[in-house]
Amino acid sequence: MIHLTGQNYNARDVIKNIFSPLIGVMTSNMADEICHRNNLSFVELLQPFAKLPNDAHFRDVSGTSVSVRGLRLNFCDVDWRPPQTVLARKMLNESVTNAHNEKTRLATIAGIDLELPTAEPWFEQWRETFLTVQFPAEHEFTRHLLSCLLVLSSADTQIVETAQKLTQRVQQMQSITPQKLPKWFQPTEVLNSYVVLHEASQADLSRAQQGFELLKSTFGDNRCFLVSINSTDPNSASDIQDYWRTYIKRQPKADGMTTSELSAPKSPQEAVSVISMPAMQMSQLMESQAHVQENDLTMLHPLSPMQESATEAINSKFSISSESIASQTINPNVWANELDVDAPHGCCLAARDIDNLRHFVQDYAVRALIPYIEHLVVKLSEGVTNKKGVSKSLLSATKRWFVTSKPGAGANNQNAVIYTNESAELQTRKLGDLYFMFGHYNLAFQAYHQAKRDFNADSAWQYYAGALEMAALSAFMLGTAHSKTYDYMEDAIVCYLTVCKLQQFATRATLLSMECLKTARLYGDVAKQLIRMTSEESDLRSALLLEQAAYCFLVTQPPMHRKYAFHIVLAGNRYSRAGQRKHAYRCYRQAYQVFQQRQWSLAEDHIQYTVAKQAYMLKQLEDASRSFAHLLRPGSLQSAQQQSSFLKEYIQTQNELLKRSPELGLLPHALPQVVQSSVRVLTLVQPPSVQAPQVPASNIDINSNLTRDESIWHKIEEMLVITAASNKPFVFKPSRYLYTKQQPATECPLAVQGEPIELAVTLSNSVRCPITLSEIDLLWRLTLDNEEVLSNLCVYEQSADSASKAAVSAAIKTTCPATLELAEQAEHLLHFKLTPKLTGRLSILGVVCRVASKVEPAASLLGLLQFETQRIKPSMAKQSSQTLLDSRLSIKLVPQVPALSVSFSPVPPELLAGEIVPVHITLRNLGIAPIEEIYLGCDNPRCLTLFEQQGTEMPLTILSSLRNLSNDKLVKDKEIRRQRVFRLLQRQGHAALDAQQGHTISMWLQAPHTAGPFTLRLLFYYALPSAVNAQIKYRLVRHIWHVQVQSCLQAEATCVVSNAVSRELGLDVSLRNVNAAQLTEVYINSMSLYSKEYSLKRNNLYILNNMEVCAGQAGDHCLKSSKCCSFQCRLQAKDVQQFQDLPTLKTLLQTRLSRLEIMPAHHAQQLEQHTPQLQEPHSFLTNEETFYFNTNISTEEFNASVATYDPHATVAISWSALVQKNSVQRVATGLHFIKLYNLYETGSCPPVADAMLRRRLSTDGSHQHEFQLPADEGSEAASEPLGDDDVADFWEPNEHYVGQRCLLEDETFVLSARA
Amino acid sequence: MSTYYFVIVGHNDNPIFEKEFSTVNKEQRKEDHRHLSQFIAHAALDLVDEHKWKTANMQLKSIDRFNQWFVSAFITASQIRFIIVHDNKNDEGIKNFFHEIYDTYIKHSMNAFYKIDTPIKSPMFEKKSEIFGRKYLLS
Repeated sequence: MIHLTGQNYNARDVIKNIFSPLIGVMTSNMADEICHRNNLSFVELLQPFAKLPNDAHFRDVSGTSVSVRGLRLNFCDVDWRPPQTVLARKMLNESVTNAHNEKTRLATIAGIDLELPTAEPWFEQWRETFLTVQFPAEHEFTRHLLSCLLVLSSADTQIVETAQKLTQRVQQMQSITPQKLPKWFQPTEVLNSYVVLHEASQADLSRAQQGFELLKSTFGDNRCFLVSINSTDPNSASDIQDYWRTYIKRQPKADGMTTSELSAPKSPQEAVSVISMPAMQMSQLMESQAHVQENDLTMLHPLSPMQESATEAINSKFSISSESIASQTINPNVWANELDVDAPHGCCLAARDIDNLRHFVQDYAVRALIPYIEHLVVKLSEGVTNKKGVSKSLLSATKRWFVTSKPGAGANNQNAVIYTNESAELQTRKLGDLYFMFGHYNLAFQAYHQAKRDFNADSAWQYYAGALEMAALSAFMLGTAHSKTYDYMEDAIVCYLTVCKLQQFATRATLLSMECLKTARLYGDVAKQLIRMTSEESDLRSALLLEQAAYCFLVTQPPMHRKYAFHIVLAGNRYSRAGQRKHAYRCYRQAYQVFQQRQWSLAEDHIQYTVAKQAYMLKQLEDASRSFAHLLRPGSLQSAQQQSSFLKEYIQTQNELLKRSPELGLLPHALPQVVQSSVRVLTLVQPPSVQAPQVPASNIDINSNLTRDESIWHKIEEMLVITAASNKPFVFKPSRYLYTKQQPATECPLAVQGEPIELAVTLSNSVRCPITLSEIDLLWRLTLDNEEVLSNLCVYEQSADSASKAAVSAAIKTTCPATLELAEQAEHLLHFKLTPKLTGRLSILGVVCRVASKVEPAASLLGLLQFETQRIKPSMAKQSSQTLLDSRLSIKLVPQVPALSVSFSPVPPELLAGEIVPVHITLRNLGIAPIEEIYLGCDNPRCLTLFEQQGTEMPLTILSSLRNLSNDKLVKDKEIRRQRVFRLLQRQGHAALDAQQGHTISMWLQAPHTAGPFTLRLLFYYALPSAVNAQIKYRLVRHIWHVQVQSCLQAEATCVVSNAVSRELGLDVSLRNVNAAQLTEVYINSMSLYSKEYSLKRNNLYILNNMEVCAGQAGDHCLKSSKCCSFQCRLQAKDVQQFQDLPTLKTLLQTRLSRLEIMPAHHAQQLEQHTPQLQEPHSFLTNEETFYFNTNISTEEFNASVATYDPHATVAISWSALVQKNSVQRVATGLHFIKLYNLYETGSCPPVADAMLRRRLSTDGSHQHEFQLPADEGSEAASEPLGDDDVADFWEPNEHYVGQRCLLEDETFVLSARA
Repeated sequence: MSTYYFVIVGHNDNPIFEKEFSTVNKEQRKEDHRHLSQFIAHAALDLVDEHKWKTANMQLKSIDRFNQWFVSAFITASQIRFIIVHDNKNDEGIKNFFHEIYDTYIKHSMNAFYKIDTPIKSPMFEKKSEIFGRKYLLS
């Protein structure tokens, strides 16, 4: 047997072992029995000792003694036959299947870490098997039996007769013509030697000696050997080691099924399914060679020249199923199955016996074999020299000298010549073989070189290639290899391959060449030769050679890791076609190490798909699903159809994995992806406990972007907190409820037991096929205060009992949409609402859902989409270098606290400018504890008034009209807070709201006078009982109105001298309906004047222009859209009341107000009841008269504005309107305010741009100190010319009013005349 | 019946631009060879790197082959590699194509917003390569 594996042989050893002299063995039955006691045959018994322990000496033809070192004899049963093609195939397959090496080493090439197997035993095993199963060929003699051993037993009483019988049999074998297997080196004179085995434990040596002597006398001294073995009893424990284990290859008996299950496909169909991808057939990779395959069918396997039935070989060639193999008969002598595989070997052998065996081999070589070889050498050389020059024909002689032929040059590529055994050419070759086998490489090279020239001349290409091959090897063994001898080998391979079409020999030559070239470090050439030997004929061989080639690329200088990657992929592909799943899987995984994260997307996909498939078949489901998951990654270039099939297989694999190992629980999904940065958590959610028409406080929406707004809210909150804290020292930190990527949570968010928490997350489908999600739920873990951990993970485990499941589901209630459909490459926002019923620390881990392809909803997979903890960007964290982790998903649950529910009566989304809307605020305490105090903060206090404005203090601006405030000690911040913060439900000695109590507060809202979008923010603050919970001191409710304000009425008023004679002052008012909608009707109900010194004259209303006033639905005088009217009323001075002490706001307002009805609508009176009376402290007049300080006003500005009082009168026009919108009619009422400072100065509402400018100019001027505007016209004190001057002053900026004034005077004249 | 697979390979062996030109019907065999082309082009990088210092030319003609596919390459001054996997000989066309693409690539790489070695996503580049491909490779 050829032995190449497991001993770390170097190239020379390998070649020596391949070409060791072959010795035939024939045993008698009794001798067999003796050997079988050791669970070995005689051939096997000798295997470990086939190498000569000492040097032998060999004399060549010239008589020079050559020492032969480490000669190894190759013992072989004469009945051994190379296996038939099919069986050979099976053996080759199994040699690869059964060889593993899990150990890997790490090589770093070009910055890539490659994990490579430390050794490739599958290749070595295959090579050994490949060389073993080769049939001996005609053109070479190294695989022919040199001599024969006839083994006898000393116990045989008729030892001579048995020996003669065996001799007869052997001679019969040797003399058959034409030669059959086994082939003999020199059939005419074979060295037959006799070995007598003596069982030392059974009989006496002297008896054996007798038979042996008899034998010697019959066959000659040097031909007989006595070996004594089995000196110990089989039952007693043997103390010698098992030498045989590594040498003996037997087919494991019962293993057949398991191995085939593991690796070889059960049917050809399955084999195909392993390697093909749904759309991309890997077989395409080799498509160019596909046509070869057809020819292949008709080609006889070159491995089997002795094949009895050629058709069988063809038929079975492509069916490598184990069934057909099993039906093949196996030569029992050779592939000895009847011996027990696992039993120990050599149990009857003692150390003495081992020595005997070693000694026998040496003895046999020196005494019998080498003299025989010397004899042969002499004989052959004589033959060669004698016949030299005596050519068979004249033709070949001339050819020899004059023609340099090349293989393949001629048309005929068959062997042109058939040599007889005695021909000089073959004798030369034989001589070379002998020299080579016995290590005389120098003479061997000469002989082969001569033979090569002869064969070339005869165009005997197969012989020629063989001689070339051996010549190259001789040169290598001699150590004189150079580029020319490597070329010999190259030529030999090409010749075998192209001219002779002998794939097997070409392969063998390549394997030999590989050893030589590797020793010379010519790895590039090795790879080239190996790759050339890949063909469609044998996938297994191609795979092995490609893999070897791939490794060669790694050891070239410089290493070619990309070539390696490609060839290892090709190798993997071939392995998978050969049914070698483990190796295919391994190769593809090795290739992936090069390709990963290089964006060769399709190549990566191919690798991953194959890895996934092979892993699935090998039942490595975890790896399989990991690879499938990789195929579903975002940015894949695969088509939709391809991806949906990947998805299907992924789901199938994952499900199988779960079925097999349910303890894995929930596996993370590959699809869809969680957009990690999109996770939002909202811990303050308004309980929806409001009846229909009422509108709950808007609070914070989970999808709102808290960018600019938030600072406004924080400012209001700060004011509220400071007001409530009433001067207690306090570090303000705004409370937070919404946590997003922009607003990361540096601390754990707080949430209240029993109140819902909202969570929003975006899921994205990265593949091109739609998927559906069902059974959506959140996965959470709750650490209770007593450190007990609850999680709803157990709900998804089969092992958990139903009681604990119930307990878990009671702890936290989750609501979310039951199913979700994600279109191809779509994103979807998913909302969850959790209501914790316990306290502790809640961690939200991920989303549990069942994913299925939309096309096939039946195949679904339950899994987990994990939330990852996000990092907070260092810029946001406080300049520290360590990264902060966001904790928005670990929420602290605190015990129940009072909860305030706030709701409002609805406000129309579109308001008219200046419209007043009554709003009822309903406050309800949902908690079980009373709420002590409630504050309301507002960002725009001008626009709202509260009915129960307790302790209404006089606004500073009104107060400053009474007395100079410049000496009062006013604190800026406090005043600002006073303007914006209101205390609600203040009841002496009572909590503001008892538990479960509700209360309604009336409030009015006025839309601003300028059109456009308008927002009003309300922030309710309520303090919590301080003892209950230290973590939350107060809570907040937000409400925001977004209102669209439409322009309604443009009002202008001017104070004029209406009668130059009486110097009576008049007020010109002109109004225009500027609402864009055609159907809006505006009614002017009344006009009021707020003035310290003047009041409106009753019954003196002069309509100046009522031409466009017409009858409307609610009265006779209405202003339709874009119509205008104007009128004048007269003013009268009134006594300035001097208050003794500070009056209440209400009385002050009452004294200053005067009112005049204009053109009231029918329902005017009714409507006015719903709005606050002007004289009430909560009227909007108060707001209008109040100067609201900007929150970031400086102290100087504040002091200045408090100290000055700008004398003015305010005109308030009360109107009502009928608004038609979408066939719904709405009645609106409102107020317009016009402030008048000077005579002939027009005030307007909403303010006109240039009017504002003029106002500013005039305030800068010297009129600031003047009293009220009509006064400067000065009926009492001012002198005429001065007044004229003043009038002239006023005329200047009001030029365009000249015409109007003339008309006005005209009309007054007419009217007064009429009166 | 000719197909060309063109790829620009960055310094980290990563493809930064890929395009296929084919006279063959798109539906028929578009998918089949795409991954194989990638394998071949990637494997050829070893030979490109080996040969690039041996010649003064920027273009390396038919540097590698696998079955019926040839690999031609072009190396820019900044060691960016252009590779074409093709199945018929068209040296002149490939040479012209490479030079035009080189020109376009230089312009693109001068864009301050383009980072070297990142995938080229410019529609202009795509369009130009399409035009050059049709002009020099498929005509």
